[in-house]
Parts: sequence; C-alpha cells; structure tokens
Amino acid sequence: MPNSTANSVPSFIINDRLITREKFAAFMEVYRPLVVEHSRIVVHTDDPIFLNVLLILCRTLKKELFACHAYFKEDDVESLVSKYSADLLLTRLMSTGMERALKLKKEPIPDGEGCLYVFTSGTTGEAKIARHCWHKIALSADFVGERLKGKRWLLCYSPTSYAGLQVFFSAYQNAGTIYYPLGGYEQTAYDLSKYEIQIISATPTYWRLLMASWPSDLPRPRLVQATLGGEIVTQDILDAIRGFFKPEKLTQIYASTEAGTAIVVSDDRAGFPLDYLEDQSRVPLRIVDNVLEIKAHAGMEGYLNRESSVTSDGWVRTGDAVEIRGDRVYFLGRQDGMINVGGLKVLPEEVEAALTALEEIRDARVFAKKSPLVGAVVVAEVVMDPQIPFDEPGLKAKLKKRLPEYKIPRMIMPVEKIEISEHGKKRRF
Amino acid sequence: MNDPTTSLVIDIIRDVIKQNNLPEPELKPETVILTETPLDSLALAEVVVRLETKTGKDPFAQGFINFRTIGELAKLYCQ
Repeated sequence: MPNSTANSVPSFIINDRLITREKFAAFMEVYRPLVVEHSRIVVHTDDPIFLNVLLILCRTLKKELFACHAYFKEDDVESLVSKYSADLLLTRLMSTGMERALKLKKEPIPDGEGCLYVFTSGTTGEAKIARHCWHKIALSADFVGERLKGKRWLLCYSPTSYAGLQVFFSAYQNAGTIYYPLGGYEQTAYDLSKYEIQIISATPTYWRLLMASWPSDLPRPRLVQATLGGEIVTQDILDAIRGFFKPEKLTQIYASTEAGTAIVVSDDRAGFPLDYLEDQSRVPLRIVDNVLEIKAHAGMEGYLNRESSVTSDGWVRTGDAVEIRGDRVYFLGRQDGMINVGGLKVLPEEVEAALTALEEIRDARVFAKKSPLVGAVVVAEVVMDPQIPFDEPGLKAKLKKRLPEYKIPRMIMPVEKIEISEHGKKRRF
Repeated sequence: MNDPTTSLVIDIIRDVIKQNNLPEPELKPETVILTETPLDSLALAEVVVRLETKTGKDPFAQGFINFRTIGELAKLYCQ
C-alpha cells in the first residue's frame, strides 16, 4: 500500500507500478534544465506521468505550456508549434515508441507569469484553446483541506482535459497518490479495490459503467469523497452511488472552462438549492430566460483562437436550461439542443449535415434519446431517396468516415417526412 | 432453452456486434455484458435503445438500475 504521509509531492500508480515521490522528483530534475532554457513549450504525450512532470515544472518556472491531447496527429501538433511560435516540442508516445525533444530557435520570449493552454475536446482543427493562469487552474478550493490530505485518488478523465487537470492539481496540492486506469472498467474495479482508492471524481456515465462492471464478489473501497460532474446529475445516480459505495461525502460539481467551478452541492439531492442564487458568499449565479448564467471568476483568461462567450460585464451564458421547482433549481438540458453523450458534446445540426450530405438522404432529423448508461445517445430519422433502399449498417459505415464514433446515430429510422415544430424548427426531443 | 426475452436480448446484442464488425463471443444468460462481450458503453446504449423500440418498455424510465449480465438485463424487460 502506498505510504500516505503528507509531503508536497504526490506519488502515482500506473500499470501496477508505484512511482514514488522521490522518483517523480528525480524525473523533474531530468527535465528541468530543458524547461528552464525555453519559454513556450508544446507537450504531446500519452504518458500521464510525463505530462504531470511538465505541468509542475512549467508552473514552478512560470512557463507557457500547451498540453496536447494524446490523440492529436503529429502533423497537427507541428503546425501548432509553428503557428504559435513555440520554442520547444516534447513528444513522448508510448503507443508508437516515439520520443523526441525538438528545440527551435526563436526570438526570446519575454519572461512572464506563464500559463497553461488547454484544448477542448474535438480534433485539433476545431479545438478551442483556452488560456489558464497557473495560479487559478491549480486552485480548486473545493478540493483542499485536512480531510483530503494524503489520500489515494482515481484520475479517470483524460489527463489533458480541464476536468483531468483539476483532479491532478487537487491531488497534487493534497500530497495524494494518483491511480491512472489504463485497462477496462473491470480491471479498474479490481485496482480500485486492491489499492483502496479513497477519492473518485467522474461523470455520471463513468460511475454507472463502473458499477455495472463491478464483480459481485469484489470488495468495494471505502470512499472519503465521491464526486460527479460534466453531465446532468440525476437523483437515481446519486442514490445508486450512495447505496453502492457509501461514500463519506457525495458531491456534485458544476464547472466550465469559461467560468471555472461554479456550483458545489453535497446534500445527496439532484439540482442545487434556490438560495444559491442569493448567497453573497458564493459564485454569483442568475437565471436569464431559463438559462443559467455564471459570473466568471476562476475560469480561463480567454481563448487563444476565438472569441470568448463571456460578456463584457463578466457573465458567462452557459447554454444550460434550468427550472425552479420548490426550493431547488434543476438542470433540464441544453438550450441549443446540444446532446451530451457520456460527457462528450454533440450538436444535432452537425450530424444532420453529415447525413444530408449523403446522396441517398433527402432530409434528416437528429435528436437525443435518453440512455440509462451514457445519459443520452444520438438517434436519427431520415427521409430516403425513394429509389434507394434503406440500409442502416451501410449508412453508419459512411458516417464513420465523417464523424467520430460518439456522434454517429446509434439508431437510424426511415420516415416519410420530418416533423416540424410550430416554430418551424425540427423537433429536438 | 432461453426464455423469449433473453433470446431477444441475445439477438439484439448479436445484431449490434455484427453491425459494428466486432468479434462475436458465446452469448449466454450469465455472460457479463461489459466484460465478456466486445460491446463498449455506446454499443450497449444502442442495445438498450433497440430493446425499448422492440418491446415498447422502458425499465429505466424512473432512473438507472444496475445490471451486469444478459439475464439481468432481460429480466428488466419481463416485468
């Protein structure tokens, strides 16, 4: 069992290997001279420990760091390096064995506070790049305190995502041990049990799949903290986690790249208390036209490659529709019809465009079907060219060339015509 | 001999496996879906959507119910 004495550096468990604090500190010393000499660094890696080493070095040395997702293509990473005039590219891909440090001669970049650039999900071409101050991204006030010191954490988000970074810095600041799962859900269940993981932060989808894969005779770890976020949190999933893991504390977090962490609720009920809207001690919230708005405080500084949706007076329109029932505010879903598939966002219009681009399809309507497992799945109705027979697997195969897996409708149904709402729009439910 | 609902669940799982070009394992009532079949979370969600369309029942209407095996899933559609 990893030693959990408080210290300023965490340790890690990955692939059944324990990386001690000393070993992690030694890794940092190996890379420190390289980082010291440069100012704007791009890292492209599927090794979470390597990423973590660079995060801490760049934070300490006040450098600018672009944290690329592991699945980015080499070409896209290289064009990013030239577009933003980076002076160091560090690549370490365990999947292909590729490892290199590419030093680029550049005009010296003046010393500053440094920052962290985080990519939204999507391919490089369309990804938004959010700029975060080091001191803000490392500051998750909800995740500090004696109760969480020296504990063992599961980090199941992508380590380069905003959520993954928040979990990492929380664990780091609390001198925790971080377990990175690399296998499937069942393997993760065995490891959570074996390493007695105490803190899990995940999407409702992840929680459901973890519980559905949990071997019936496997002991469940005693959780100090269970956290959910990234998707609408419903009462059933709160009850399921409460019953299954019996965590000391069960917390819902509502956070966004643009606004930072805005709502934290730990009363085992879905939604959040109505009086959060009035509470001066909390992040300011308001509801405008049934949509939640947040006063940005700890979020990003702005996007590098596009306009931010933060208004000039600092309010972020979240796009999440809410409803007040009794003393509580509940989330209803996206105002723009955006579909949330296990934490990944899909715009119906984008999928409709991919469908109608196929010559055998005249018209299409894409909408969400509620799913007990992943929150929602994408389904479609299509109006076919009457000359061409309907072939669902064939249509899906064609879509696979244009869309990532989670955006492909799981079910496509042929219809005579597409239903239109009274406002002349395609119905999205 | 499996009961009709279990057979339906197995048929639908087999269809989804085929449509996604995945290797087909032996499918029995005691097969654990997420670990003993090649279905991932999205493919399993598809199975559930198709089951609802075929049976007209939505056992998850009131929220998530945990299930692991094919038999446990089929049982939810029997009530």
